[in-house]
Order: sequence, then structure tokens, then C-alpha cells
Amino acid sequence: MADPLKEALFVVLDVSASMQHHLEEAKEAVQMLVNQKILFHKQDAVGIAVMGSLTTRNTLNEEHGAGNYEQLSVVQVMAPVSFQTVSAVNDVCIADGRADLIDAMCLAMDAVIKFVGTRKFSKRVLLISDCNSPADVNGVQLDEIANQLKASSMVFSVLGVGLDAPHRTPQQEHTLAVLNALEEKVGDNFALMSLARASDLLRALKKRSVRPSTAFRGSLKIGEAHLPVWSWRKVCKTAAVQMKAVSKAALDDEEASKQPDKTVAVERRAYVLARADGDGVAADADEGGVLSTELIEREVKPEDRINAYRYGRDLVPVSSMEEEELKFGVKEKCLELLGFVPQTDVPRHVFMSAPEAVVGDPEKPDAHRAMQALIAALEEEQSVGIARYAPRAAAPPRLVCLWPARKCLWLVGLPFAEEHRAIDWPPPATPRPTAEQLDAAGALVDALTLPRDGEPLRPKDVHNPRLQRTYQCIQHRALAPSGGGNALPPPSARIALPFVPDPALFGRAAPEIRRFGEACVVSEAVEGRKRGGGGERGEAKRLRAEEGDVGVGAPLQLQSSSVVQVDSGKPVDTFWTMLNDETQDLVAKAIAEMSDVIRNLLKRAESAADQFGMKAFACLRELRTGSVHYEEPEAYNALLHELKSEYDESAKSHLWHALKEDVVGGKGHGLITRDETEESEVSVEEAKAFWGRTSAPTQDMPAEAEEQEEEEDEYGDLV
Amino acid sequence: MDLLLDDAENEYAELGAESDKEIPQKDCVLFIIDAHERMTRRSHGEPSPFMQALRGVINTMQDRILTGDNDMFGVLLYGTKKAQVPNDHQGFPHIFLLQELDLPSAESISKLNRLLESKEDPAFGHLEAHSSETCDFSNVLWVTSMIFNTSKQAKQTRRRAYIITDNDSPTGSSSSPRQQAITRACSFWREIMSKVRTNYKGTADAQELELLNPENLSDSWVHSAVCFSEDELASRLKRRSQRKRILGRLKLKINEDTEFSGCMVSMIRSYAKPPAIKLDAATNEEIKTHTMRICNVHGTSLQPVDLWRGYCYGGKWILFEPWELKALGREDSEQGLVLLGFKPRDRLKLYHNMKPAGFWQPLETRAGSTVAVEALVESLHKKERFAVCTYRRSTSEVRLVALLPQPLQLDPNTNSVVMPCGLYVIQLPFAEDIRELKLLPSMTESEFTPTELEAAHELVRSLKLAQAPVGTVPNPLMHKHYAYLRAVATHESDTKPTVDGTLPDAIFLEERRGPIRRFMEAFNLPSEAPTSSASSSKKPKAEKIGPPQSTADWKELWQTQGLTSQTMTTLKSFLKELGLPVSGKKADLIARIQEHLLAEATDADTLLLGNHSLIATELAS
Repeated sequence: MADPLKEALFVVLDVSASMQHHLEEAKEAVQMLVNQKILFHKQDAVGIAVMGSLTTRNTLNEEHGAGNYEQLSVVQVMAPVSFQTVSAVNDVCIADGRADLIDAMCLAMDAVIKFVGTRKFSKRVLLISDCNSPADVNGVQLDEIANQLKASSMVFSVLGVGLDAPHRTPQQEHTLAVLNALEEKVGDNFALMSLARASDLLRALKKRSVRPSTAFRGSLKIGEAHLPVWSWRKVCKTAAVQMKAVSKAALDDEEASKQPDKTVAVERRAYVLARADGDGVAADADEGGVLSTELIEREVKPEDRINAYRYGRDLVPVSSMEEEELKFGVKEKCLELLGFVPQTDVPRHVFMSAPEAVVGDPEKPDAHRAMQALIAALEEEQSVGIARYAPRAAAPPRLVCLWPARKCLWLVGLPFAEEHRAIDWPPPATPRPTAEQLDAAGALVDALTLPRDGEPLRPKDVHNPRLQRTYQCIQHRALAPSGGGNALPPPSARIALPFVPDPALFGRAAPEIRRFGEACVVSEAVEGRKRGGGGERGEAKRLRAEEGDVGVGAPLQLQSSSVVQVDSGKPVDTFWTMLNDETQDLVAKAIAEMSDVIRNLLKRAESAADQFGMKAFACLRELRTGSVHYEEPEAYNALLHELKSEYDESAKSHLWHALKEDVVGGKGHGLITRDETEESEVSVEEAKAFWGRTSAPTQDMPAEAEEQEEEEDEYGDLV
Repeated sequence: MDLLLDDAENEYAELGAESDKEIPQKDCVLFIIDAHERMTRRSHGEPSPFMQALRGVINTMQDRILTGDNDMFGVLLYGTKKAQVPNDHQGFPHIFLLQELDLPSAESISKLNRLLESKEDPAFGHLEAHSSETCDFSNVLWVTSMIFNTSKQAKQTRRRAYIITDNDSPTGSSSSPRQQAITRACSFWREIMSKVRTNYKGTADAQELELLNPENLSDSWVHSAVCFSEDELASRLKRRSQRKRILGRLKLKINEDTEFSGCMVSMIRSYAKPPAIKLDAATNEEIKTHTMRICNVHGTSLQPVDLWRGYCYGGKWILFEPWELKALGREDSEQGLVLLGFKPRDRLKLYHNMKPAGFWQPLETRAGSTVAVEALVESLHKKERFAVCTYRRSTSEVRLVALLPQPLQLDPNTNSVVMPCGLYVIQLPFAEDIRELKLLPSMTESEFTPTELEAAHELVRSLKLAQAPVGTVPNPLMHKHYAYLRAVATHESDTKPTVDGTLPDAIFLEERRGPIRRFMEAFNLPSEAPTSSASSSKKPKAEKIGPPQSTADWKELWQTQGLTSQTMTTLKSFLKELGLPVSGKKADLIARIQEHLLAEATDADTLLLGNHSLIATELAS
């Protein structure tokens, strides 16, 4: 029997005074655990108690009367994990009580057992303590506890803090001795671990555990032989985090805000455009003397709809009865072998699908044996099986290959004729790589080869950044104190790390990379686009391209230097081309024109985050870099002053504020100071003051807030 | 400079502006078929070259419908007796536009098919070789360019003309050099049948090109004047008219200073049955749909900006702006392929696969990329390594990919490119996508008996296929789908049965019965599919047959111990029918029914049922 997927967990947190310096760490660990349960295992139940609280609140105390199970307080009864659990953990704080560790243990076990009853849950108790609490127990009681743990197949983990050997108190020594005795008795179901290590494990990115179910059970047919097999999906794309649409306006409503997912209704209308030549309309048209050609939308009911499929230019309607004729499904599910081919005949890149693992029916020893023998034979013969596969009745058949692996055959789809494009390739490029170039490339490959030991970037170690980042943001917003935390946190290093080239590896390989670069000279991209691709879309794309390709402040060495005007389409490129032009001095012209481009962009920008805003800021940065580089600060500084006077007090003041934030955030739009170029007359203090004068929040913010409120009011009226 | 390279660059240049999603890149194909009488002569019982050409055209069109490409096709004949030219232009004798440029349709294919099958001479007639009239080939080219330039359909497409002729020099030996130049400049692609010819490549003469395409050079004509012999014109045409679909430009970055330009080419893609389009049954008009989101509280229609995206976090609703979510997980990540390192080939496990691989090819946007990448690919191939990269296109999320080297591969006979130099881009699964499977441990060779091992080896050796069916077998589902649609569209009643190429070859297997038998016996395998074992661990699903109708049904149920699986409602209604009381628990109802059936049963039944009841009671006790 497979392990139940649901888990009932009871956490006991030691809050007695000696835990003072460890409680936050302990709470964080529990918080992480609860968070993972909310995200991945909503079915799990969690209960939380604190030991060493000043009050006593637990069922065992009520049953056994005062004097028993004192100063143990349940702060969250066993219940499916929810946000309440999170709050309960948050509210835990240090107290000065003194409770018995064994009492706590019994309480937790009791709570779990009572909660689970006969239901299918795996059971776990987690105790986080510094073991400074007494553990009052005799041998018989200990046996009893051990037996109960074993009988209920409960896992008991103690996460110890502050248990560094040389500084242990006698109390700790004693408690630890008791726990060790227990561990001996219980065996695998008991674990003693340091909290730091547990936190590390918890902090690792997590995924939802899925109990695999077979994709196919049947027989691998080899001629007349039937080899019973099971097949599991090995790789299955995890879906993105599902979010519900919530109406912003509806959240004002108290009733609706309780169930935000119910605030949006989706209405789908199916209609055709029909000529409005019903009687009435036609008569009107006659009167007016104009033939009515106006089209009206006529709703089509579901029963009046019919499916159609495209055949070239034609659209062929197909009735639901005929629809069956279009299908091509197998009568019975099947996996039939066509034959074997050499492994080299099935190149890796033709794999069409995520693989399934095919094994002999584990319930039939003969089948497992036969499959293993077949795998061994295929390995030895360097062959793969080709089979016809339809996992369900009525499914269309597909050709698959069965590739031998150690424990199973990998079943992977092969392309059909239509899916494989035979392309007429142009003849090969004429200059083939020279021996020197090949040599440099070989050295590069060797230098950048990742180590085999402790192999990095194994797919099973790399988590999906989108999913993990979404979890991170959800958690951040959920745990942030209400009102705050609206800005999303920066991506956690754990998420982003695998996607950044290892600086050490690339640093070491720098000589080889350079050598390769010198052997195979690659010029900068030549913009050979012929079409303007106007409109917003084109613009946005160009913008993206620029952002991706142009390192800030890196003067571009464009080949053509015939540019004599800053082009609003590609301002950054053309700006640098003009600056770098050695045949004529275009610096002043370039700066002036770039300023114009920025002015125009800002005029069109609605916010700092839209394409015009972003582009304008990017251009401004480039202009600044260029101005510093060519020691022409006046124009830039003048532009900033001009923008300030124009935007600071205007309706588009948010643009100015965004710019200001950029400066504070270190992206640097500030005035060019004397430190940067001697040409400038602006001192560092002046530059600071330039922003400081208006950035006094006491003056600006209320005004702005009012403005916004007014706007919202107007908006409200409109609605 | 070779014209082919020009063409390739044009293709990329066109694409440069849009690099994001798969752009519908339409082709506009005009088949120019030589219809001189010479072409209609049969030889050795084979269909005439003209007929073969037509069949090739039909196959190509059907193939394109099947692969769902919105390409346009036209058929132009020359050397006909009659003339038919668009807009009824005069002065172009012996040129006949059989089919105007358009998307292929069932009707147009049927028309060609009829032409193919008819025994009579077609209405347009074939011009005899010794006839005094001749067809001026430059006129053909004029008409061709006219068709391309006047057709609205041909706008924004890539134009290609295929000239199918058995004449070595369609311009005629007596033509002026100028005409020959035009022919070359036009740089069409010729298929010459039955004879091996030398390569026919001309240099582009700008002046002549201008004459043909006064406006724009980039209205590129297809030009690979390759001549070869080939029996199967149809398959040749089909292959030839495939061209590469570029998914978008993508750079390959090694570090800040070393970057190569390239593009992703679609070579293998999974292709499913296209979705149905909904029509209004009354008018056969396409139904439009409109989706509106409405606020349940205020009843207003909601725009995307009026919405949060919400996630229920343990009962607390976490809200996001839609735009916040878009950027999640790809902050700071770079577009394109960014190298993370190389790994030995065996570290790419077989299960590290999500979907069909893409193919990345260097482009000369950054001059020198091709040579550099070629050097890199060669070394990767030699050292048996692959590259691990991050991969992001502007709209998609960041993924890890493996780049497998594909060195340049040439056909040893023709020296043409089989596969160009590039890198296969294989998407790797993430930790979340990989499932841990608990599989039984593998067995070592020593655990088997020699007979068992020999049986397995013999099986593998004897069942060797001559050729791996990779990309060669057509999908029977698609063929059935389109064959049926065509039959409906053209009101043809007889459709050919679909050939299922995925079926095992029965004769092949029958011939190898011995090894299969021995394998079967060595491992004690059944010769019939085990029946119910397939769902042994799952609960058998309730069968979806309706409630029993007749008394016979009920008897059968009784015999098969199926009474208990009936619902109370069914049992009660049956009892009601019989006029028996319907009160009591389920067991009571069943007992009552059994009693009744027993009373009614014939002797033979009684015997049978009696036995069963006996067994049932035994089991119960």
C-alpha cells in the first residue's frame, strides 16, 4: 500500500525563557513548513502547541485535572492547514513557564491520533526545543511511548537548538539522554536533528509531490506473445499557478470580499452578423430611401451550432454523427512491437514527447524477468524497439520507440511524416573553420565543461523559476503585515542562481573564451532591417531589442557611420553612431537631437513603466553617459532642469517622481557633476540639492495623494 | 555570389523585424508545366511526364492542406493550343492558366484529378513540337510575373515558381541571348526528368532582373537551378516545396564579448488535428464569440485593468496586478541562448525531454557567426559534449535547454546539404516536472538462465527492421480526417480506406514466429492478453450500461452476481413492475428478486442458478 499522501502534523514549540534567542529561528522554520503545506499540500492538517507558556490550555489537562500537563497550551488545534495556522505561529512569543517535555510529547501524539482516527493520514510530530525543559519519565513509561509511536506508525522528530556539546547544561544532558534512549527504542520513526539543518532542508525549493499513476497497463505485444507491462509518466509539465480573476471594484463590498473569486462572472456570447432585413427594419430603410446594409449581431444558441473543419480554402461543416468518421482510434488500447532498429537510427533530437517508463507488470514476476532480459538484450545489441502505442481505447495510434535503460524501457513518441519537415537547405557557407579555429573551439569546450563530480545543473535540481518566484511572491504578500508589502520582493537567490553563468567557471575560462573570440572574429550586429514595422508594436519590439542588446554605457562600434541624425526609432544606436563618428564632429548635434527625442518620448509617455516612459529613461541614461564621455555636460544638465520645471508640478508629475526614484535607486539620472567631468560647473552638493528641494515628502506627498483621490472620485462618478 | 545565398538572406531579412512568435509565412507557389505534345507521350507504360507533373502538383497541394500551411497554389501551362491569361490580356498565345493563385480547395484538387483521369484530350490542347507556332518562353515569364504582381493573394508572401519541363533549354536554342539571360535571372527551379543533367546556375544580371521585377528585388523568386534525374517527381516536388520555417531570431551568448546571431528553425513539431470551427447551422456562417467579464457586485463589464489575479493562500486571498505576474520568474534573464557550460553527452538522460527539439542555426547578422558556430559544433561533436543554456524568447518563460551539436552533413552522391551545421535545442524538464518512480530493481545477467538470455537476444536480432520508421509514416488520423473532409466537400461517396502505417507487419512477424515462440516459452508469457488484470489495482469502474430492461437481463445479472451492483431505484422499479413490495433494505430487495426469478426459472436455469446460489452462500459463509 502506498503511503497516504496526506499528513497530520503536530508541532510543539518550546517557548520557555531559555529559548529566548532561538525562538525566531524556530518560528521561521515552522512558518516555512506551514507555507509549503499551504502551497503544495492543502489537505494536510497541522496543529500547534507551545510548551512553557504561562497559561495551560489543552484537552489532556482538562481530562486529567490540574497538576497534569501544566503550562502546555494548544494555540492551533489540529485542522486542515490554513492562513490561521500562519497567524497562530506568528503570534507565538516567549514566556516564562516550565513544562515537561514528555508531557508535550504525549499531548502531541494524543492530538494526532485523535484527529486522524481511522482516516488515511501519515502522522508526524515535530518538537522544537533547546531541551532545557525537564523530561520526567521512567523506563516503563518510555517503553509505552515507544510502543505507541511504533503502533501508530508515527514519525517523531525533535529539532534541537543551542545544543552545542561543550556548553550543555546538566538539564540538557539529562533530557538528551532520555531522548537518545527513546531513539534507541523506536528506531527509524524517531529523529533528532539540529534546527539549523532542518531549516536548510526546508529552505530548499520545493515541489508538489505527486503520486504517480500508471499511464498504461496492458501487454507489450510481440507477434503472438503478450508481455504484461505497466507504464508511468516520468516527465510531466507542471502547470502554472492557477489564479482567479477578482474584480477590483467588488472588494469594497464587504459580502463580496469574503469570496473574491466569486466576484467575476464570465459571459460568452456566440453570434453571427446578419443583415438587418427583418420586416420592420426593411420598411424603415425604404422610408429613408436607403437600403439598409447595417449588420446586426444575431445570437446563436448552442443547439444551432455545427462544427466545421478547414480543408484548404473550404470550410466543411460536419454533423455530430459524421464527426465519428473523422476520428481514427484504436479499438483496444495497445502497445504492439513493430521490430527493432539500431539505436543510431533514432537520433536523440527526433524525440517528440516526454517519456514514459515501461516496466514488466510488477505483480507478475515472469513479466518483470522477461522485460529485464529484453532490456539486457537491447542494450547489448545497441537496439531500440519500435512500437505502435495507443494508451486508451479510441485514442489515435502513434509510433514510439522503446529505449532500454537500466530499470525500464523509455517510451518516447516518434514523428509522423507530416511532423518532420524535410527542408531544402542552401549549400554550406563557404569559409569552413580553419584548424586554428577548431583548436580554439576545442579549448573553449574543455575549459567550460562542467565538472562530473557534484554535477551542477542537473534537471532534477533546477526548479522552475516562474513557479518558484510565484510561490515566493504569494508567500511574501501573504505574510506581509496588512497594508504594507505591496512591492514584490526581489527574486530569491535560490531561484535565480542556476540561471546565471557560474562566474568562477567563466572567470577561469576567460583566456580560452578570448582566444576563441580572437580566432573567430564576430562583428557587431548590422541592423539590416528593411521594414519600418511602424506602430506601437514595432516600437515596443525595437525597444526590447535595444534593452536586450545594448549594455548601458557601452559605446557601440557600429560599422556604418553615415548616420547624421538621431533616429527616433533607434535613438540609442544612432546616437552612439553619431558620437563615435570620426569623419565629422556630430557630438553637439547628437546630444541636441537626443534631447529632442527624449522630450518627445516623455510627451507621449503616460507612465514611467510604459514603453515611451521606459524608452525615454533609457535614452536619458545613454545621453548622460555620452555627455560624460564627450565632456559636454551643459546640454544634459539643462535638459534635466527643463524636465524638472515641466513635469515636477504638472499632471504628469509621476514621471518626474519615477525619475527621482531611479536616482535614489542608484540608476543615475542625476546632474553631471564636477567629479565626473571638469567641464561641469555643478558640484556634488548642488546635484544632491537639485533633487532634494522637491523631494521633501512632507510637502509633496499629501498634495499628490489628494490629487489621486480627486481623480478616483471623478472616476467613480463615471462608473 | 551564389543566388541561393541571396535568397536565404532575404528570407532572414524579412523575418528580422518580427522575431517573437511563429509568423504565418505564406508561400505563393506557381507550377509552370510544359504542356507541349512531347510531354504527353508515354514511355514504357509509365504515365506521361505531363500526367506525372499533374499528380505531383495534386500531391503537393494535398500535403499542404494536411500540414495546415496557408500556402497559395496556381497552375500555369504553356505550349497549349488555346490561351487563357488573367484579365484576358491578348498577345500571349499558348499560355493557359489552369488554376489561379489561391488556397487549395477540394474543388481545385478535384478539377485536377478529373483532368488526370479523363481519357480525352483536354480542352486546352497540346502544341505539337513540329508545329509552326511556338510558345515564346519569355512570354511565360511575363505572365508569371504578371500573375504574381496582380494577385492580391500574393501580397506579403514569398513567391516561388516551379517550372516542370523535359526540355533542356526552355527558351529554345534560337532565342536571343537576352532571353536566356532572363531565364537565368528569373532563376527558376527546373525539374528535368529521365536524364541526368549538369548543374545549371547562372549569375544574376541586375538589368535583366529589373526587367522582370521592376519594383523590388526582394520579391525573390525561387532559384535553385538544380537538375537531376528522379523517377518520383511527386515526392520530389513535395520535398522541394517544403521550406524552412523560422520561428525567430535568437542569439547564442557565451559571455559579454562573445555572441553569435542565429535563428530557430522548426524542423519537427507535433501536429494535432486542427480544432473545429463553430458554424451557425442555419446559414453555415462562422460564429463569432465575444467574452465579457462582469462584476457580480456592480454589474459592470470589466476590462483587464479592473481585475486582480487572486490566489487563495490557506483561506487568505493574495491579490496581484496582472502585469505583476507577467514578469515573474524572468527578471534579469536575458533573451536568447546563454551558455552555462558544457557537459559530457551521457549526462543528457533519455528522459530529459519535454517536446520536439528545435534547431538553431547561425545567421550572418553578426558576420562571422557561421564559422565560429561551426567550429564550436565540430568540437562539441568530436568531444561528445553538449551545451547547457538558458533559453528565453521575449514572450516565454526561462527554461534550461540542452544544445546537441549537428555538424554539417552532406549527401555523398550529390554533395547537397542533408543537414546544415547547427544545434538541436532540447528543452529540459525542471525538478517540478520530473516524477520520482519507484521501479523494481534491475536484474543482472547472472540472474538469468542461458536459455532466457539466448531467447531475448535471438528475439532482438531476428526482429530487426530494415529501416527505422522515423518521420516516414503518415499519421493515419490526419489522413482519414482530410480524406473524409474532401469527400464531403466534393460530394464524393467513395473514400479510400485509411492506410494505417503504424500497424506491425504481420508477414514480417509471422516469418519470425520461431524466436517469438522461444521467447514466450522461456518466460512463460501468455499468448493472449490477460483480461482484467489491467485494472487489477484500481476498482473496476461501474459499467456504463443502462439498467436491465427485460427479465432475461435480470436473470443474467443474477447469474453473474450483478444484482448487488444495481441501484436501489432500479431494484425498486423492477419490483414495482412485478407488483412486489418495495420496502426494506437493499439485501431484502435483492432476496425478493432472486426468489421471484427462481420461481420463474426453467429447469435448466434452476440447475445453473442453484449451483451459483450454492457458491454464493459458500462464499458468504
